Amino acid sequence: MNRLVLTPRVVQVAALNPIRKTLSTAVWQHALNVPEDKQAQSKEGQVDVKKALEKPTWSVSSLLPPKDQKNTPKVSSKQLHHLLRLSALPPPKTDEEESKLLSTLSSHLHFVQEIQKVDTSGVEPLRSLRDETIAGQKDAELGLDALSEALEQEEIRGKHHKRIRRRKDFVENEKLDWDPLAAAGKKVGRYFVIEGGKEGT
Amino acid sequence: MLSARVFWQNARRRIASPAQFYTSAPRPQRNLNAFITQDESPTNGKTVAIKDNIITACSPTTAASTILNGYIAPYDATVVKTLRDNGFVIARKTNLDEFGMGSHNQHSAAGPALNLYSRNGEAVSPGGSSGGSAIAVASGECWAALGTDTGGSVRLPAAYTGVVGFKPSYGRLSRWGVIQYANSLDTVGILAQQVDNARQIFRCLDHYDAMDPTSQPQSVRERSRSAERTTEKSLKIGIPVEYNISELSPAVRSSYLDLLDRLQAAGHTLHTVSLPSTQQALSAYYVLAPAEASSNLAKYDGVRYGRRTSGPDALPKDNLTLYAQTRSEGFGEEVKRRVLLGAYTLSSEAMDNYFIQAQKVRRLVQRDFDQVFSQANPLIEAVEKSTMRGSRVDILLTPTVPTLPPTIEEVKNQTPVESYMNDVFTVPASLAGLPAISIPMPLNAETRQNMDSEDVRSVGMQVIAQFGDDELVLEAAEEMSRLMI
Repeated sequence: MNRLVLTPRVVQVAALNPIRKTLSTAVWQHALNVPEDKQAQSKEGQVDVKKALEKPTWSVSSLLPPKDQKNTPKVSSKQLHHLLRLSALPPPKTDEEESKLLSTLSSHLHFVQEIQKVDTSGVEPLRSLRDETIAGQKDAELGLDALSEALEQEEIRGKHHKRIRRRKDFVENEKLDWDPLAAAGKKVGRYFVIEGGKEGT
Repeated sequence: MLSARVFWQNARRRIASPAQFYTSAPRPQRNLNAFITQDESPTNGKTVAIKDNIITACSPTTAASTILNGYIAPYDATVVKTLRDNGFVIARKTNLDEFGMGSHNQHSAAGPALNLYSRNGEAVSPGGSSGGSAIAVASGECWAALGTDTGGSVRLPAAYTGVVGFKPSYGRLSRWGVIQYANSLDTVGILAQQVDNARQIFRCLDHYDAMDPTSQPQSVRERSRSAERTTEKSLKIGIPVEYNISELSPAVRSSYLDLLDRLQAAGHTLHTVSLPSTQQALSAYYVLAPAEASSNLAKYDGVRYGRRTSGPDALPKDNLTLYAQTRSEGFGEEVKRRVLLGAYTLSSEAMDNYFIQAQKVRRLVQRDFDQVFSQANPLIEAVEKSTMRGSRVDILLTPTVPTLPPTIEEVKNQTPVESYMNDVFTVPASLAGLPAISIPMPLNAETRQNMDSEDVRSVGMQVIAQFGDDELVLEAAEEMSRLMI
C-alpha cells in the first residue's frame, strides 16, 4: 500500500495555494482562541451573545473553486472516459459535453480537496456508525453457534482429499413468498434476459 | 440559575395563541407538485405522507427517478408497516430530489416542487431533498410526513417551508425498505407542524429491526436511555463559533441572536464552543456521500426491475458498455454527477487521498462533538472525564441554513458546488450520526417589514445533541418553540 507516500498531487496543491493555506491557519487560530470566548462569558454563565458572534470565523465560499478554474485539480479526457465506463455511463457525445463534464468534475474535486489540509496521521477512519465499545464488538462477533445452521448443511467427503460439500439430502425449507422475476422487463422461463449487442466493427 | 418551574412560567407567558402561528401558512392556490402518487382507499385518522424513496407495497415507488418507472415494491418498508399497524393512514407519496440527491427538490423526474412562499412573484425553493414531504406538512395536506435525511434533507426543507424537521440518531429508525443513497449516513426523518407530532411518530417507529443490519441493537439503545437526563434543570446550550460564517444572512443572524437572548432570559446558560473540523466536514461529506452513492446505485441496470432501454443492453460498436444506455436514460444529471465523482474518489489512485481521508475527517468531526457534549458517546468506549477539556453542554443550537430560501431562479443559476454550500450546518451532525431537529423561528416584525408579504415567515433553528439523546433534542425543541412565540 502506498498510504505513507505523499502523492505529487498533494504537494502540488500545497505549493500552489500558499495564500489559502495561511488563511486557513488564521481561521483555525481564531476558532481555538479560547481566551476571547472567556471575555464574552461572565461569571454567571451569561454570554454577551452579540459580542460572541460579532465576527464571522470563516467563509464557506472559500471552498469554491476560482471562477477561472486556475489551480483546480485536472482530470484528463482518458481518465474521464475510464470513470464513465466504471460508472456504466455512456461516453460524452460531443467535445462540448466532454469539456463540461471535465470542468464540473474538476470544480467538484476542488471543493472536496479541503480535507487534504487536515493532518489525520494516527486517526482511525470512521467507516460506519456502530457500537465500537469492547463489549459492543464482542456482541457483534459471530461464533460457531451463529453459524451452526449453515454448518449443518455441509458434510465432509472423501478420505484422502477431504473436501466440504453441501449435503444432498438437505432440503431448503425457505419458501419465497415473492417472485424475483415479477418486475423484470425481459425474461425467458426462470431466467432474466440480457442482450449483449453485437461486437461491431 | 432558574428552576424548571420558573422557566415554564416564563415560557407560558409568551404564548399568545400557539395555533396562530401554525395556521398562518397560506393555503395552496395552485398545484405545488408535492405528490407523486395517491392511494384511493378511504382515509380516517392521522394521515402520514411518505417520501417516495421509502417503499410501499401495492403502489409505485420511484425515488423521483426515471430508472424506477413502473416499479412496485413487493412489501412495505418497516417504518411504513409500523405506521399502518398503529392506525396511521398512509395514502400519498411525496416529491423529492432524485434518490435524495439535492437541496432544493428541483432534480426530480416528477418535476420540481414549489414552496408555498414567493418573493416578488417568484416561487422560493422548498428545500430538499424531502421537499414534497415538507410542503405537504406546511400546507396542511397531512398530519405528518416521513422524509429521509442523509446530509440535511429533512432539516433543510423544514427550515425553508416553516415546519419541524427531525433527524433521529443514525440507526434509531429502521432503514429496511428505504432506497439507499449513502447508507452510512441515511436516516429516516419526520416532518410535522409541531414537535409533539414528530415525537409521536418517532416513538411509534423507534424500535430495533432485525431486517436492517445497521439498526441500533438493544444494548446501545439501553445505554443511551439510561444516560438520558432529567428535565428538572436548565439547559447548557453550546454556540459553535465555526457556525458563525460570513454567509450568515442578516435575517438569520438576528433571529438566532434573538432566540439565544430569550433562552438566556429563561434561565438557560449559553457557552461558546469550538468544533474545529466543521470547515472540512462539508468537503468530507461530498466525498463520502457520492462514493457510497456510486456503489449503491450500481444495481440499477433495468434488468430485474425499473425502466429499461428499448434497445439492447450493450452496444460495443458505439462504445456503450453493458447497461450504459439504460442508466443514461434513467438517471438525472445530478445523480450522474455524483456517481461519477464517487467513481473517482473510490478509484485506486484517489482512494487514500479522498475516500479514506474523508473517513478520517469524519472521525475528527465525531471527536469534536464528543469533546463538547456532557453526555458520553454510547458508541465509543467511555473516556476518563478528567482527560476532557473545556466546558460541556447538553445541546448545540445553530441556524439550520445560513440564509432564507433562494428563489427557484437563483437556484437555477447556481453551479452544483455552490448549491452544496447550503448544507454546511446540517452535514456535521449527519457525519457523526447525531440527532438534530430544525424548528421554525418566526421572523421578527422589523425583518418582515422589508420583505414581500408572500415571502417566508420563519427561519429554521437547529438543535443537535449527543448520539442517542433523541428525546432531549425533542424536549429542547419543544421548550424553544414555546419561547419563540
